[in-house]
Amino acid sequence: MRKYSGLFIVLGIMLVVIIIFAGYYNSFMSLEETVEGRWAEIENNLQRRADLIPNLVASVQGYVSHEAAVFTEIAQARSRLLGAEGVAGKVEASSALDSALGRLLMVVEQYPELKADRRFAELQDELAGTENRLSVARLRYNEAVTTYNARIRRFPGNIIAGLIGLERKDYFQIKEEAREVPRVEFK
Amino acid sequence: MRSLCKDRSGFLAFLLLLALLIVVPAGANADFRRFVTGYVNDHAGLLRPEEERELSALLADLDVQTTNQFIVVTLPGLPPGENLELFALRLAEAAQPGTAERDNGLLLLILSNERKIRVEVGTGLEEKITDGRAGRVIREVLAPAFQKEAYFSGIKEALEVFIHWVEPSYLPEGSAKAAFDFEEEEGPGVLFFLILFLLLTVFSTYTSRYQQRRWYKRGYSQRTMGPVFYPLTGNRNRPSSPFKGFGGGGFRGGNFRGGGGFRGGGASGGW
Repeated sequence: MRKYSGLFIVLGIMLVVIIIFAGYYNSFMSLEETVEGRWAEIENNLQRRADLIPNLVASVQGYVSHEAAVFTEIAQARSRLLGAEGVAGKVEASSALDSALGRLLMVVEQYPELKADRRFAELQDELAGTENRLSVARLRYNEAVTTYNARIRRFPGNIIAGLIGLERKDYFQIKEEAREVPRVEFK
Repeated sequence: MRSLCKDRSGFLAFLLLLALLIVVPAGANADFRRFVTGYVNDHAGLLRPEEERELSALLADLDVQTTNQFIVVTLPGLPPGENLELFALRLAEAAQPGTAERDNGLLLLILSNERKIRVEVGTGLEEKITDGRAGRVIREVLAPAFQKEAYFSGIKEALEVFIHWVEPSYLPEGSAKAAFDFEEEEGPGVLFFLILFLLLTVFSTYTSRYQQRRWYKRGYSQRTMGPVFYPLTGNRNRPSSPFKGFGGGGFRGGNFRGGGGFRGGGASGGW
């Protein structure tokens, strides 16, 4: 028995290490799942907004057919967003679309008969609602990223995170100039 | 291991922060729940007591019959520094109307001094009360009535329209504003633009240098965790509310069942 005790101690330590490792690993995985789930929510809303745009443009088109440049710009920004990938890519494409939409809404301001159009008003509500959902999704995503990043950088989790190659996730940050543009004004 | 000592104190700080995180939302939550003690919470004094009772009875019956929990909150104004949409969302998250399975809660928030209205729609009702529909009720029902200071009739009619959309068979014949169903016709240009956008999308996809990688990445996350499926409806991934454990304080007739997820759907407006 005596000659095996060293072996048992080593095995015991290994077991403890494995259990600790598994605990950290599992918590990292579920935190990462949360981050990805919330990112999916952002993507849903970006997609939702992209789907709204053809309708919005079509309802504006009847009134302001001669403002072709804005429409081309929106169409391009929209297709860029649908083709964009990764957090950084999507953030950039989405703020390009934001500013294109902002320009469209500025054009719309000059057409009172369009602002009185019921269908257009409803589409604007849909757009504002999507923007609001997007900002909620962004908030929740950033919260999840904060938790995740903190967990993988704190001791002793950072050692385990380093071993399995986990990296910090990007926040969804919007540029200042993009922030103010697509708000729909209410009187 | 270099900065083990520093990391350990960091870890302690982290634990402390965690403890704070657990304590603070509970406090904030209690603060919000103060505003919501029943179906109708008229803190701004827009309704007479019997009007408040009538609306409460309507909403309590709706709750018992259909499990949909609609709540009305009127306030003079927002606490300083608050934003309407975020405040309404947090209020709804704290009160949690609706069931956890169906997320069928709705909050109608009215700010009398600021003359602002927010309809916050639970995740499960978003399909029936779309943002556009919510906005239309604000513009065409609530705002005109409130301009005439007819708060009770405005709120009642708005609630009836919402109920009509959510549970068409619930309201007795005649009281439902069936005529309010707005002809949601497609404009003539929609098809043309759909085709234009489709073409542009296809075009940009084919010219994308990352086409191959994109398809790879859609199905698989960066590390080999197996396929990750993003459901389009997104409900499965709804982040659970931090207040979940506190929901469901009882009051007259019904409970707020501590379910009701919200993600910012609805509309804002004013009068």
